[in-house]
Amino acid sequence: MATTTALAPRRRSGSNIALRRNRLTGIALTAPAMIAIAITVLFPLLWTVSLSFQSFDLAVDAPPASFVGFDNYARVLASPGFLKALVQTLGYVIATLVLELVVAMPIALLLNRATRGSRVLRLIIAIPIMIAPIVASLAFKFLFSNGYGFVNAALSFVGIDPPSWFASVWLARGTVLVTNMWLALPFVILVLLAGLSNVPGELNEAAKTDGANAWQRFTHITLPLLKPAILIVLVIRIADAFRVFDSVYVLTGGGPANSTDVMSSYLYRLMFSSTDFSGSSAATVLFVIVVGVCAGAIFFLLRDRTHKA
Amino acid sequence: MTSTPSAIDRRPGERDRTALRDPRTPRRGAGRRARSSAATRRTAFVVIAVAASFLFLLPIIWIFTTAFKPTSEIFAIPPTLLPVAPTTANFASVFSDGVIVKMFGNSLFVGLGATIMSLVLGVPAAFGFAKFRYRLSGVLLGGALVTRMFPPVALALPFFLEFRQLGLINNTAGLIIAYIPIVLPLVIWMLEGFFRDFPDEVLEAARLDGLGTIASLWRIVLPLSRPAIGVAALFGFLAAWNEFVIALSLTKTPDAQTMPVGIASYITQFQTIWGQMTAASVIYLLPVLVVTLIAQRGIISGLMSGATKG
Repeated sequence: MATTTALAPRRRSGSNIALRRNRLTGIALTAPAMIAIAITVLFPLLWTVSLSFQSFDLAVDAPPASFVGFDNYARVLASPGFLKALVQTLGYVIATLVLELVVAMPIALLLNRATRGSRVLRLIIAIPIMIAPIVASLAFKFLFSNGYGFVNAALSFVGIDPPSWFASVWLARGTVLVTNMWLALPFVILVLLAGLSNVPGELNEAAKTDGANAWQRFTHITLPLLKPAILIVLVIRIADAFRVFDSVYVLTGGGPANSTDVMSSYLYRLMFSSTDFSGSSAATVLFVIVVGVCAGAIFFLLRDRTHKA
Repeated sequence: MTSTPSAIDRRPGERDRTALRDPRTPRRGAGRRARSSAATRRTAFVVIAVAASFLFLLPIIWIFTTAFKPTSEIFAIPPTLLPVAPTTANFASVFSDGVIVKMFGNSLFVGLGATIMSLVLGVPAAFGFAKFRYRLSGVLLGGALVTRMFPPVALALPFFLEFRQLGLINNTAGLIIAYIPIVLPLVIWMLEGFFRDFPDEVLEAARLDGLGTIASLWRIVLPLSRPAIGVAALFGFLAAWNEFVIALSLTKTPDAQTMPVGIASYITQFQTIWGQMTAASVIYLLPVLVVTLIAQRGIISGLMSGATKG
């Protein structure tokens, strides 16, 4: 910085002082929040990393904590429960993202065209965003329940033999997926709608007069222009999908036979049912690494795309 | 926030479309048929929209109607939507031991506490990141936003062990601290994008008038940003109000438990007490739904602009 001041003409050095004052103001304004995040996120995370290399017990007469290297990691990675929960979490994240986009897209396109009542419809669609996941999950638990649930009543009404939703592996997974889609679709639809409002109507009209059909117009005009909105949906929803817990806890408790277990429910059980704290600190670190790698991949994808665009 | 430019963008497009359509319809000579088919299409749209909205809102409607049903009706086969003999017995039994009032108070205290702390820390931070860049500010902002992607369950273990030593287990003040990583990044994320669009000229004018940074933030920026800060506060509050896994991990008794934990406890190992559970859910949902209806426009535009600026 000293060299720049020396080389710069007089006028510049004045603006440099202003620049430095700006910088100090920025640091002063942001420091308290950054310190708070360091205390509540960074420190706990680093502490978990250090715990993951120790063997410790919370019992009163337990031996003092000892360094055990990668033993906890080896134990967790060797346990079938961890790998099953990890694979199921990844499967859930992919399934929920694909399904949400596929279902939300036509709804957003319809709402974008509807001029009448679209404000009311937008409000109705936005409601689940406000609803606590725990309450929504309880409602769906009832709707899918055996004798007195609405879903099975409707199925019997049209002559389909109603299944036992929470007893079968894939149907139980389906209930978790449906519940979370209900919770997340509003956000996806609203972001897509915001993206659609930037698609100029003239472009579609011009393509129409050139003889492009609806599907061609969608894939060649709308979809490319929606790319930023879709990537925002992906980034936010991937983070949300990885943390899914409430619906699994309420609907299935991870069952049947751990087939709906995800990382969050697995970790919670390892901590508070098995009270295996050294094991769960290693599992927590592994989980954070997986989320971090996925988030990083999406981040670079997003940056590449925006640079090209 | 972004609604003004998009409305301007859209208007000429719509005018063009009608301009194209108008000369065409009379040429076809099918004016009346087109009009009646448009009418049926509109009716069909309304019918489908109402039916879809009803199905979409069924989980919430069910909660509200079941709360007023006697137990025999809750387990009726086939199920009914509306209570035949409405009763407030579920609410009476929920309120009978006072636990629900305590938990509602805990939720409110924790939600407001986490929101206020996050605003006090987050508003200046968002303003600083948006208007006073320094060498590391981009990295730090990125770091703060990455914590939004962080699974809360990963914090349950270190918070549980730390709070055990500090005596903050089963403590509402402890929960407020534990919610900072959830609410604060959200507030910074929503407001940084807003402050970035705040006109520099206004800040420059304030500076020339001799206002310091804090004074211009307090007296110029805050009053002009009230709607954006309101939306950020609302979403921050909702994040804390709806949070479950951390509250479940760090609280043990109704002294510190929040509403989601209390409602989930109506699922016992042997049965789910639907009547009381739905009554408690109504008490829990009602304030949120009322605020949603009052602040609907701000919420939707805030969501859309916050999301697109990410």
